[in-house]
Amino acid sequence: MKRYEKVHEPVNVVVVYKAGKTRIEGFKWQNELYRISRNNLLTKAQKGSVPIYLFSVSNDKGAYQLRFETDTLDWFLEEIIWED
Amino acid sequence: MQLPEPRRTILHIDLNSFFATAEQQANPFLRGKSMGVGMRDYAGSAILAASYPAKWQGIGLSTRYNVAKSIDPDFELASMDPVKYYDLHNRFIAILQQFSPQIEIYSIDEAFLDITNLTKSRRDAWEISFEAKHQITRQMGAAITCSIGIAPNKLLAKIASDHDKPDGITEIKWEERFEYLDPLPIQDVWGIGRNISYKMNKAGIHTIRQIRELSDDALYAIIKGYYSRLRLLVDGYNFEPVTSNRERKPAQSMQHAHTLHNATSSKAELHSLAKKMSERLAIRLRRHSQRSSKGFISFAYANMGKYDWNFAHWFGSNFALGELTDSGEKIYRACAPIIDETELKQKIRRITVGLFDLSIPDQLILEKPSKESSLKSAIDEINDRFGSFKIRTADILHQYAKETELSSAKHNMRFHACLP
Repeated sequence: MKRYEKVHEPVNVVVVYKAGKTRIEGFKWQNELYRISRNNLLTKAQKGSVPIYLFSVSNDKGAYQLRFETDTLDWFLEEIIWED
Repeated sequence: MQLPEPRRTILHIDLNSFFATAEQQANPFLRGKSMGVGMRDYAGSAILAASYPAKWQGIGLSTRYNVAKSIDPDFELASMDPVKYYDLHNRFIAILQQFSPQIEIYSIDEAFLDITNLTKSRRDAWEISFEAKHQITRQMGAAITCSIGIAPNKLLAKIASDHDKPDGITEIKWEERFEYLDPLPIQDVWGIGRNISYKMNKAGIHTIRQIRELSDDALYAIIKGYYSRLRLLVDGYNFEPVTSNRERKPAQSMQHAHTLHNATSSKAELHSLAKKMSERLAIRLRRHSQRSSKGFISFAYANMGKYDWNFAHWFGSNFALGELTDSGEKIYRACAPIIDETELKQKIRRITVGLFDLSIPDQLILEKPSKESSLKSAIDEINDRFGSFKIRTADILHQYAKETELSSAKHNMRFHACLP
């Protein structure tokens, strides 16, 4: 059974920048560390004139969307789809 | 008179179940499953795109979510995410532009590419098609596939790309065209509209082969003036060049549609939505320096069946604006009496406001901007910079509140129409 959760909360993220690519390794939300096994899709969007990046990532527990704001350099967890 | 044989090489590239595969790319748990894209928290949501496993069970465009669930209890619905699709569309077009500058963006997930000069000089159409497929998978994701049609004109290229879905490549050579054209149901052929299909079906004609076998007189008796164009079409002729969107004429019409999360019979709600959609249309008019003097407003009732989005249950009226305008207020003022006078027999699910006969007035550059138009330009500029509808009139403020209630912050991002 899937569970869908809209979150939009700030998170700490571990990111590797290598060979011009950005890869998310994990993030910490509500004191729990989520290791990421797959970076599936990177989407670029605009908030007004500010570019933002949406990372669709997953591990064996579920799929997550993380959002990076380029004006403040803040990361947010946007949504989780749990695979129970 | 014998018409010349077309000698161009056209590709039609069609992303398979684009919105669905974009969601499968973002969420690998959805891959290979019966799923679709729609409004996740609404059981009556119409499905906007379905994956192939869903399509094979008869779940497709505009099937209701609850109906899809009754067909396949394992069917899953992902939320529509226009930002994702818009970004992937841009990547899709950038990939194709590497092959030829002669590209026509036909929709968010389809494009024509004229590669005649490339094939003349050095490369085979199949080699280019394989390379395009490879680049799409590499740059957009493994879950996103496309079908490619290769043919001497746009009509046959489109038929070819439909022939082997998903993920195929089909070439239709000019001398083989009837093998592909003849068995097709009339309504499946690009360029044949609903009215023509209806008239032909009513006359007992259902396939392209049956049309080809009709005499000119018999064809004329059924569809009158359109018969010569239809005759060319069923013989596989299409003379339209691949026109890059920059070379295209400005749009002749535009419309905005809004599907309500909760159907309503409140006239106040309809007024408010019409006002917001009028403002959206006005922003698009101003962005393209266009104006309009005519439009329409239409409504759809809530209790629609699977295919009724396109046929029944629609009603509304045209309106005249009296003068060429790009003012949202004037568009809304023309809609308002129609809303007031419309008798609602049921709750409304969908409202559409559109404009047609758009034009770019010659004297526009000589006009001294009025105080009102200067104000609108300033508001447009601010909204472009900080996000759409950051500045809005007070009477549609509650629409904004509803939007934020329903969607995450990402849905408030600027999202332009996909075609320039």
